[in-house]
Amino acid sequence: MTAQLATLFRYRLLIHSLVGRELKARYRGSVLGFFWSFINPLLQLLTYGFVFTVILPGRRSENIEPYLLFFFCGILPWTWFQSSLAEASGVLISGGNLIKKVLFPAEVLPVVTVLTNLVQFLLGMPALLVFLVLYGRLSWWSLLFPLPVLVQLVFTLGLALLVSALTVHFRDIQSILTHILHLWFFASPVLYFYGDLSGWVRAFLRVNPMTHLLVSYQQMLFHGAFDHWKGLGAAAGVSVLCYALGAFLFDRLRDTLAEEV
Amino acid sequence: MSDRAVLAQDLTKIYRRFVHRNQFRTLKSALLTGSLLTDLAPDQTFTALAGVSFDVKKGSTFGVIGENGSGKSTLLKLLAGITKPTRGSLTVEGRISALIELGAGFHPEISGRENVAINGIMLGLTRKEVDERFDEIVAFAELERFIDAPVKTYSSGMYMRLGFAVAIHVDPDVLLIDEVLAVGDEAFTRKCLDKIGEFRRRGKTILLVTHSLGLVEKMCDDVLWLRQGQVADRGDPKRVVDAYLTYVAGGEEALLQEPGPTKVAEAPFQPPAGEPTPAHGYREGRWGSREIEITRVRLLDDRDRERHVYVSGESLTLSLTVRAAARVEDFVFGVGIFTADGASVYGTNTHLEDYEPRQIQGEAEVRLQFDELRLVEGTYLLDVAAHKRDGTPYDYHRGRHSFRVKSRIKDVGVYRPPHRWLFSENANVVSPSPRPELDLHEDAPRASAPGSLGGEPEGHATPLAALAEERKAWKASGLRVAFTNGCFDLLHPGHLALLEEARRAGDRLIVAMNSDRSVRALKGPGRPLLPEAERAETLLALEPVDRVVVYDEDTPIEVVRALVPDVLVKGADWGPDDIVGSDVVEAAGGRVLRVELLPGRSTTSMVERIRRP
Repeated sequence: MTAQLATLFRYRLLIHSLVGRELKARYRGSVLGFFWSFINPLLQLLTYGFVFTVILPGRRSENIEPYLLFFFCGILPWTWFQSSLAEASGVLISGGNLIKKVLFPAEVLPVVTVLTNLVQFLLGMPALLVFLVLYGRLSWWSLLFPLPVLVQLVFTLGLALLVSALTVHFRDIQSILTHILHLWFFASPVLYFYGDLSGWVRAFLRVNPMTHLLVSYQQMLFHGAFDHWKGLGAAAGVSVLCYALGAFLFDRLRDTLAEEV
Repeated sequence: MSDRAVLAQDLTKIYRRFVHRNQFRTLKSALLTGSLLTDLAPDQTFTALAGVSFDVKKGSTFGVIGENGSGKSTLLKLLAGITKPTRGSLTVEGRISALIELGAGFHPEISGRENVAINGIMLGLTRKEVDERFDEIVAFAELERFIDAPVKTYSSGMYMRLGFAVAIHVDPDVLLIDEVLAVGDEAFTRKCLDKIGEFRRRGKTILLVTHSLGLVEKMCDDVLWLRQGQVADRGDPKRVVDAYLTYVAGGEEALLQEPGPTKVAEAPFQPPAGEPTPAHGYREGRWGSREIEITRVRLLDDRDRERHVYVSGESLTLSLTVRAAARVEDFVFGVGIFTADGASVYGTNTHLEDYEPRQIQGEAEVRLQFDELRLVEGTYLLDVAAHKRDGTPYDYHRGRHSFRVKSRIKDVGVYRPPHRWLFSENANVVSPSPRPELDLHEDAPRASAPGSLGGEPEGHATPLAALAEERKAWKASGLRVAFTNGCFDLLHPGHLALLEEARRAGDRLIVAMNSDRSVRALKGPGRPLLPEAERAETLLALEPVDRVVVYDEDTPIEVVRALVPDVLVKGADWGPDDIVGSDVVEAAGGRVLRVELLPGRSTTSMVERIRRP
């Protein structure tokens, strides 16, 4: 694993260029260009906001009002997580040419995917910050914000390595993954407040590392108070394990990648 | 510092194959049957390289040849570091750059400029190095005007040029080249070759993996031949390429001797109709409806022996054994000759030459005879085909047969027109063989024999030793030598007819003439009528005669042995078995030609008539 990290470090320049290329290519030819990084989460926000405030204006705990702002705090990191995995699953296959023809450590590709989406996530943050300031929600706790980002990065990288390598052997992971991520979205406290839950539902959500990450974001940004240290710590532990597993499996399958894609 | 750029020891690569599950089996079924772990474990292996050891000297150009599937690509991937050897070790000194797939890392959506930067970094440059070399790269690719346009708008040629430009400007110590030169237009290929030549001059090491044997011979200092993952041969390019060609030809013969139907199933690809146009140049293949099937293709020399190596100027006959299961009335047979890099040399067919097809049924043979194969040295590929007059193929063999032309003269190009060099007085040039200086004023295609050489007393006749040397030179340049002998003390039209006929059988005619002593011994004291110097002079004045050589023995056997002519010509009054030296000539692959004489024109009978009072 350390060797792999060293490789990634050695190729940091390439990773940097590739992330830049991905971002450029993503909005090349579109009229609004980089503004899509803001517009996408805003549109998502409006959609869900419309559904949950106009169509289903059910009873909500006061903890999550204004609801749209609460939702915004969760949906941004979730989008990063979800798009990273969805793209990582296909990245080795679409980049097969590179793996087969160029001296190229294959793990660069999923890493680039995760980092590209991280940059997108960070580009969405200013929009959120504006709203947080408008609603007077910003606090000193918000400065801890990079912590969950780091944990989530490790967690996502681990899963991305795992998913990308396995997809080469089992192509249908790509389609299964869409549904898993959909389910995972509803099993993570993005639309609702973890603190409101009780019983087996709460117990179930507790084993989900994303729960603790989202709660951390929400506390730091939305609630302006942070006391979820244990949860974040546990998530960090799981993330490191997850990365170790992903790196190990990727390494084991490395030789077969160039032959199977 | 060693003087080796690459050292491979016992290099072995075993690919694992997943046979019991098909490639795209699903995770779902793997989970359902609980076979996830077993599925990820390979169950069969395939040895692509088995214990290959070699070293490449720094600054040398090293070729790797071999058939498809011989392990060339695997070796290249190992060298490039894309895969790792299962066993053995491989050390490469210095930066290595692989021209495996040009522009493999290009992203279509972003500009050429950005792609150059990323591709350069991918190939191991730093950003600073990319910036420094950027202008040079763009200039080499000739893409100054388009460098800021997205790569997706590039033509494939532009794409390749940019890919090559980046890869070559990485300035590697070791350059790997895989077939890439086979693509691209001629100008680009030449540019690439120039650049590669520059690399060689700068003492960089080049590894060339290619099917273009001509290129290997031209460029490489050392060649490795892989056969089924093992080193079959290694060393001098000419020798190894020849050995390889012989092997390939043997394999093709074996393949062609197999019965037809199995081959039909194995045909590499079969486009529905018409001549397929592969994206890049010339590709081997076979296709067609097989209503007429070419079951066997043989290359025959002038003695009907199957050969694959010919000396330039020799005759070559292409024999196609064809079979039509049912009666076919619309058919054309065609042949195309191509250079090893796929450029057309010559192509013709029976339709172009106005042969009217009537019908064909059952097995038949079609021959195309090239009397003189005036091609320069190299490997040539053959297309043979049977098709309809509208071009719909019955059986098209593309590039499945090849032959080699050898020549001592390393002239270049494709075709060698019959020619000679002439120098005027002030241009002092030494001829390559003991041949007289040519006289510009003499416009006959053949210069007369030398008088100066050796200062022999026989007038203008050539000494045997000098002639033997000259004969070698002729052979090397692909000239066929005809030979006849006699006393020639009284020339008559019968002689002229024979000499003319003899000259037509070859490119050069040598006449061996009995010395005065020899004529006396054979014909009696009254002969010869003229001394040998005058006889030689007379003979050489004749248009068909190129050289005269005098022999003192009763028979010209020593002369024949020394010269080994391609065609031995005698009058038909000699029985086939009585012709002196015929065994020598035939053993060397030449032939004996018996020419009908004009009746009553023997010198002996004329002499008798004159002497009768």
